[in-house]
Amino acid sequence: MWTIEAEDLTRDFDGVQAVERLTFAAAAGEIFGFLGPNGAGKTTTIRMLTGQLRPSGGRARVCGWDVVTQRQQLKPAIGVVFEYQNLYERMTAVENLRFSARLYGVNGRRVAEVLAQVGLQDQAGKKTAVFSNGMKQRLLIARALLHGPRVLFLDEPTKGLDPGVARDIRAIVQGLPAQGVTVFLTTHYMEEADRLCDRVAIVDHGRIVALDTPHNLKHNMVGENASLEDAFLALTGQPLAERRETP
Amino acid sequence: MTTIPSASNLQRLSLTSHLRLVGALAAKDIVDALKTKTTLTTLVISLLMVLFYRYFPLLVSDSQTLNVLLYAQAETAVTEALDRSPALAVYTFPSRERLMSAFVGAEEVELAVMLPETAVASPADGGPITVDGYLMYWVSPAQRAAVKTLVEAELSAQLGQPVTLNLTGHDVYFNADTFFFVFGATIALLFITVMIGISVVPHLMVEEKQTKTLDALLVSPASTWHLVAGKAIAGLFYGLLGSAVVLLVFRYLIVQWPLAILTAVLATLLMVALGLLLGSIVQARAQLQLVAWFVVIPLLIPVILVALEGLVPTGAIAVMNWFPTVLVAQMFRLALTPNASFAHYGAALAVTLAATLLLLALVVWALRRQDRG
Repeated sequence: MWTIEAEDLTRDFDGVQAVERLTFAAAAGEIFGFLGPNGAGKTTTIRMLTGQLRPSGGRARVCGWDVVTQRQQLKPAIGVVFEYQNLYERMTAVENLRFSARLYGVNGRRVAEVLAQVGLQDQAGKKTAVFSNGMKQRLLIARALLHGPRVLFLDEPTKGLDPGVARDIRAIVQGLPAQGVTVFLTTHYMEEADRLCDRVAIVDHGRIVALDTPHNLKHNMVGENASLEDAFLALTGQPLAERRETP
Repeated sequence: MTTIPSASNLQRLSLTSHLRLVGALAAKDIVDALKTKTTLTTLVISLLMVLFYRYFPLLVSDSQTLNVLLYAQAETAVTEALDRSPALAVYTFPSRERLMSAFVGAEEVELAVMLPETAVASPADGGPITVDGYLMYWVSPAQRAAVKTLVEAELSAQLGQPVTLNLTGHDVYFNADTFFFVFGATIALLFITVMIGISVVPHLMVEEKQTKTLDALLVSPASTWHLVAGKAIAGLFYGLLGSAVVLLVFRYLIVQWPLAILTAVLATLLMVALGLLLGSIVQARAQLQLVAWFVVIPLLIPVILVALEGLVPTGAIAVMNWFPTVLVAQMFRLALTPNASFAHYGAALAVTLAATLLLLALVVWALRRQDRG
């Protein structure tokens, strides 16, 4: 059963095509990777799938809800961790979560559960302004999981984090499918996608250029002992590291 | 194990859910406003300005002498005695009308004395000379007693015989049918609602945009409308609190409390609607500060200009009389009169309400344009 379905999903900004005719589907309990350089259209796709941005064309359904016409029904079914750390910094960790709990109509006891889930139970009373980036990222994941979403959208969740913290975040993400959560993960870290994702869509200039399991992408595109980086190079003709430097 | 609500049982929002969302957002903003330097500074400055408008006239007044506004049809021993008294500063007016015009604008305690041609000389029965004095209705009993004691003592000493100052039934009220301007109270009410409306409310909105917490709110069950309603309630909370402080500080002036409260609510609604519009349009804090000044000045200046009869062209005054802030000031003035009726303030009420609704419609338009890119 598909939890996320996109069909010819398209978005342009003032005539410039950001995302072009994306068609893909993610299954329940799957970690679906959306891999591509900056500007490939990853965030635009997440914004459309979460109802924040109206597609210029095509359609998408998440948990069966149309992202354009059933946005209000869609909202409780999804959790979103944005590319940026958008917490209320004058509030403590627990205040941030209690506020979200009130918005979702979730029992306050759930706050302690998610804080424990991300290992922040001892930091609950601290203002988030003094949190490290890693702690903020954990809290953002806790906030996104608070209401028990069926799909979690993670936009570059380990970007700019220390390797140790990134590893902790990946561990949290890896445990989510066991709780029945489908994860839609955008990243430009090949290794991360390789390690975490059940399937990966490689996007380039707003188009999906390949979609398969990391194993198949590596082996079918490049060959034995290849990496996803090699697969990306084979598909786009350019290494990802180089692409990241291109404005 | 905690039961987590599933998507299926949260599909459609009930009225309770709408109230919960708006309540959560409003409560967050009400508390958060007190933690934000900008909004806290605005609230403190606004309250200090109210106190300034209330007490500054008292600080600069010459408390050593009592102003006596005098109209006398003829020179009498009493007029001479008043002039000679070192404790009284006498200002003579050529007519009752001119005297009353000056008298009703006073922001400190003054005494009006009107002496008919036949007044006082030396009563045949040898009893005290009676002088009719007038005080504004808002003068407190203690101030009345002080004025009476002072004037009677001064005149008795000057005339060498007892004098009674008759204040009974001589309270002077503002008249709804003639223009008057009570600067301090009117400007205080407008200043506090303008400052809270166009500073606190848009600041709360712009901050959500700048910190991108808005994005998190908009993927939650809260919609743009819940968000706007939450900000509006937070703005109304502080706006009404500020207005209540103004009404309490200037309570001695207010004659018609229902009209005063209606005016305060209307002024707050108008400014919150304007604040919501600014918050919907403006994207950054620096931009907001610039825009706010361009809005504050045209809102407050006409209120003062319409009072400067003779200095401002009549045509300009006629136009400015339709400014919503001028109409709010007009309604507030009417609340200080005993004879104002709906006929006096109905048009001002209707135009101000229409302006508020127009601003809210513009908020809807601005948000619809921005909704989902």
